[in-house]
Amino acid sequence: MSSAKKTTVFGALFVAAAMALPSVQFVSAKTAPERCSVSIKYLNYQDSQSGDTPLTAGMAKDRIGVNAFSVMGVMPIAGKRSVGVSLLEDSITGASPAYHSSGFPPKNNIHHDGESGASGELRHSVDLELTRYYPQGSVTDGSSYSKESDYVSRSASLQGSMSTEDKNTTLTLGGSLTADTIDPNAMKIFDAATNAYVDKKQVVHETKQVATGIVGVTRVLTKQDIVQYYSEDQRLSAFGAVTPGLKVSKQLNEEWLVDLGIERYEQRDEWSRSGKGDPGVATFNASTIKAGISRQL
Amino acid sequence: MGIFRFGFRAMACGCEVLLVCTDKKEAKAFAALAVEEVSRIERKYSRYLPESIVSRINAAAGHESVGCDDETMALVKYGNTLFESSNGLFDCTAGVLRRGWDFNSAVEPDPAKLSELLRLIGWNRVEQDGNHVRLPQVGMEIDFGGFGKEYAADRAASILHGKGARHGYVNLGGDIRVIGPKPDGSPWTIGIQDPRHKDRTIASIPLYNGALATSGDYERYFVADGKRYCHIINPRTGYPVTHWRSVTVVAPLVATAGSHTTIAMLKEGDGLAFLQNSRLGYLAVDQLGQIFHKNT
Repeated sequence: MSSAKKTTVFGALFVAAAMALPSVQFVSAKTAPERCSVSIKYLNYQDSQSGDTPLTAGMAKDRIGVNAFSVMGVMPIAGKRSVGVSLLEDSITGASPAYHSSGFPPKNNIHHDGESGASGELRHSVDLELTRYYPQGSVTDGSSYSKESDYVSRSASLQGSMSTEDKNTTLTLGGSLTADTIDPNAMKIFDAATNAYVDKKQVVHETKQVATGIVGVTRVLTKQDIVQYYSEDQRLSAFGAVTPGLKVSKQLNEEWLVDLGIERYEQRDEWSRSGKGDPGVATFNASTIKAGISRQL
Repeated sequence: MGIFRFGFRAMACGCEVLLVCTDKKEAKAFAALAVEEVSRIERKYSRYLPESIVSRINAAAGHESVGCDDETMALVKYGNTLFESSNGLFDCTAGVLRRGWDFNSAVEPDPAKLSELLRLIGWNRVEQDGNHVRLPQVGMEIDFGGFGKEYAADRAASILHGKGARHGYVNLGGDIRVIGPKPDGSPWTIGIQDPRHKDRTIASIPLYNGALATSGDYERYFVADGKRYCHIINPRTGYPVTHWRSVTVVAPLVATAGSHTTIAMLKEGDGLAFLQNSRLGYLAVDQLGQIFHKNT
């Protein structure tokens, strides 16, 4: 090992060793960043349904798989604010939104053409976040834009967090408004009556607005590990769904941070908050695994 | 809202707690917590107080092992990291060299005396078994003075932050740990003393958070035959370092900053490469007065 290399390793080791001294490191759940940081994250999402309803009989059980890579940069501004920009590219395989937007096949004798709906698809999105930091919390304004071949999504969000006096517990409240435009791709369907593929008439330029809310609690366990528990997602609960999740992040040293998140989503008709879910939707499961690594510059 | 400063003396140096509080009463209550913690650490680890854990370990040298609490063992382990990572330059058993170097008499010690003392140095010989520590040879000593002040500054700032203080800093003899920036978000400005002119500064460093520490050849020294002998002594040679007049490091914790400054001083000419590779901000002045620095 060269001496230069050795001292670099020593520097990192040394910061970690000093942090291991009893309670010399006080934690701040969320304070204004002092340095620029760059993160690379990977997400894997896979969903499946465990049963069938009359409308979904015969469909593949493994429905959508997503692999996403994102790059994010955060830059501090004047000590009290920060600006964050993230770029994401993901690929979706399986029954893509193009398929879902056209509705489930009304009759068993009309089959979906697997080539159009189940093909892989690329999505690009850009997010911009402005955060203002206060002694006991922070407020974040966010906006995002995402585009894929048949789907454009625009979103604005506002999220606030407040910490307890010791800064070890943080309550997060937030909401967002999303306006989507859907221009379904041309889809061919097989018509058993004529024994031929025909162009299915699509609803062109459909729009959708969604309002969501989030309630979350973050608890600092040790000086270097943070665990977040997600509460149920209000948007999903309307459909009778719960999303238990766990996210663990670990500060390796002064510069490097790794995090791992696991979420399990399950939707059942009988869990619907209104007592009446969508009878056409079978019990549905989804798993999300996220892994990320960040470096401060 | 006002800025309140409380000065006190501990660990053989001038100390202060500076806080922004709504009134003096609140600031005094905070300052008392900091003073109490610094005093606790000084009593517990002073080599001059016979009841301290350090004195008990030293008194048992060559004999039995001494049971230690978790905090002491954490410091011992930190000592291990410092020793291993500095190739033995940062050695918490090197305090015995005080017996050879008397800064009041201002005379270079007899080389034979130094060789005798060097035989008592070796952190790698300190026996650690669970929560027990034993010095294998009569006359050996451990001493956490190399990072005790820095640890105390970190602890005091951490306690104040835990009790709700958000703006201010703890300064123990130039080892500074910031609790939080000024209420308007602006940094505290720390002036760095010119190592050869006590009433001048050579730089001012803005600190929003984190810590700053300085080691220098001007804190305790004597000059004999035109040669300067400072209190930072190489544990291998037994002689004071000579390359740097002062080294200042900015780091997240004072313990980190202070250990870097000491090791940079001990590494002499190689100290600059060490600082450059540490990725921390530093300001170093060599014997010619040349300044080397890097911002964080």
